[in-house]
Amino acid sequence: MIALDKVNKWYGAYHALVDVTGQVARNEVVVVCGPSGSGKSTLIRTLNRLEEIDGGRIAIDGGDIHAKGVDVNALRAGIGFVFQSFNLFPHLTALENCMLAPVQLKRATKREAREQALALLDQVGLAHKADAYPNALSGGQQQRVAIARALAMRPPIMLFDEPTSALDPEMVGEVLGVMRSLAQGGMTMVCVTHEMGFARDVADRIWFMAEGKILEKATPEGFFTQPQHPRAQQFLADRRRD
Amino acid sequence: MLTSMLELIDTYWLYFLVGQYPDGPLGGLVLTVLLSGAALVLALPLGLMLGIARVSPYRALRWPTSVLVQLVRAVPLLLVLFWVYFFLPAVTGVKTGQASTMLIVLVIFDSVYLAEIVAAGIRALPQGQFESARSLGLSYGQALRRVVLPQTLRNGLPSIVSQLVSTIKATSLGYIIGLSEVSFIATQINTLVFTQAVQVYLILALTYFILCFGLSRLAFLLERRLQRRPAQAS
Repeated sequence: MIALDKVNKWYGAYHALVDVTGQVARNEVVVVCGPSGSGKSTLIRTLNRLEEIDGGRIAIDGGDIHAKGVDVNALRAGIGFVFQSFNLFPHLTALENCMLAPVQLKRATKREAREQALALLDQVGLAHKADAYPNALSGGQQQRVAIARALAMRPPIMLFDEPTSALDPEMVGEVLGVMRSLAQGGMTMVCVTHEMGFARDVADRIWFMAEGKILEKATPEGFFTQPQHPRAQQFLADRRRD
Repeated sequence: MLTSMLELIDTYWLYFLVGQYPDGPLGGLVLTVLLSGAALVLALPLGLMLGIARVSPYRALRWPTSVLVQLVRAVPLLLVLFWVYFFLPAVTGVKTGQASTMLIVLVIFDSVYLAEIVAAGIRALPQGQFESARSLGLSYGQALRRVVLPQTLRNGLPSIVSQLVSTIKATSLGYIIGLSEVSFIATQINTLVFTQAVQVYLILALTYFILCFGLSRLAFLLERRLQRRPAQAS
């Protein structure tokens, strides 16, 4: 469903992504992990063109996303993106946050959007907070609303950029729970996360990145029990020490 | 002193308020307030468009607006006033009356300063707001209209009220071209009475103070209220 072929990106002289190649199949959950500065966030942001690339090819459903004539907005409407800092719209209620895009992009009437938004908020356990403004919600609640907002566009792919890194530990679980049920429901997901427990339980495959390269691709079992690349071994050893 | 001031107010309050109206064009305090209010109302849509152009990703929009804004901000209002009043009729052949001239000048000035307020507000908004709006598939325009501007304008409201205060004070320059706004009327009263300059100008100062301080206070309260119920992402 997603195909990366020798993707390269530079920030000035800094080589942020180095010949990144990989595939994500439909219904697959890929977790991207690695030390800070490894290019994980940069990589996931290139998938919906929040970041542009300098070389290589990214294809979604077979179509090159950088081809001439590609409508970036249509591309993004088909991909749900969840940010580390939630980025809810503070001037709108939780419900209105989830309704905005479907209504503006004429995917649904206001009534349909409202019903769908309520259903999604219910799915993430926040139907009772539909009329609350983001500043009245906890971090975990805000992130769950953000997930519901992304799902409102019914995207076939969901991207998560460190969704729990900005949360207090006690709220991490509720967000991971939502992501877990999404995965079980068959969603195609790419998650950048430091939550190794989640990776072990939910991921179909793990991509380990460091210094802009994917150094290892493995199943969770393979990765956690027998990491091949020395950098991956060091990474897991460091984690175990925490 | 106080009794003479009260006498002055008692005698000339109507003249001070509306000038020679209805026997002549509208003047006085009412003219000052109406001119300022009208200028701001007209300058708002203009300032909004200029402000958006100022931060636009398209160079074709950004550069000309930047030049215009920096040009107007570098020049005193008095100069623009002279230019519009004396030079423009020579060029266009249309002679504008004093009040219309003042209005044009104020709109030019206000829209440029409002443009800066809007542009600053947009730049102050966290990048994440724009990114999440675009990630949902909203176009640049939709993201601007539905996510960025509602937050920007709400937070820019105290600045806009401050701009109104500046405009009210700026109307006093209309004196130079004979506009019968409140300062001009005050000097007329002074010429009539002749011996109570202190009292006359004290009344004028108090008028400006009550008006401007009142509005500034409103802006301050607005800002406090906005901080208590934040409608902007931090």
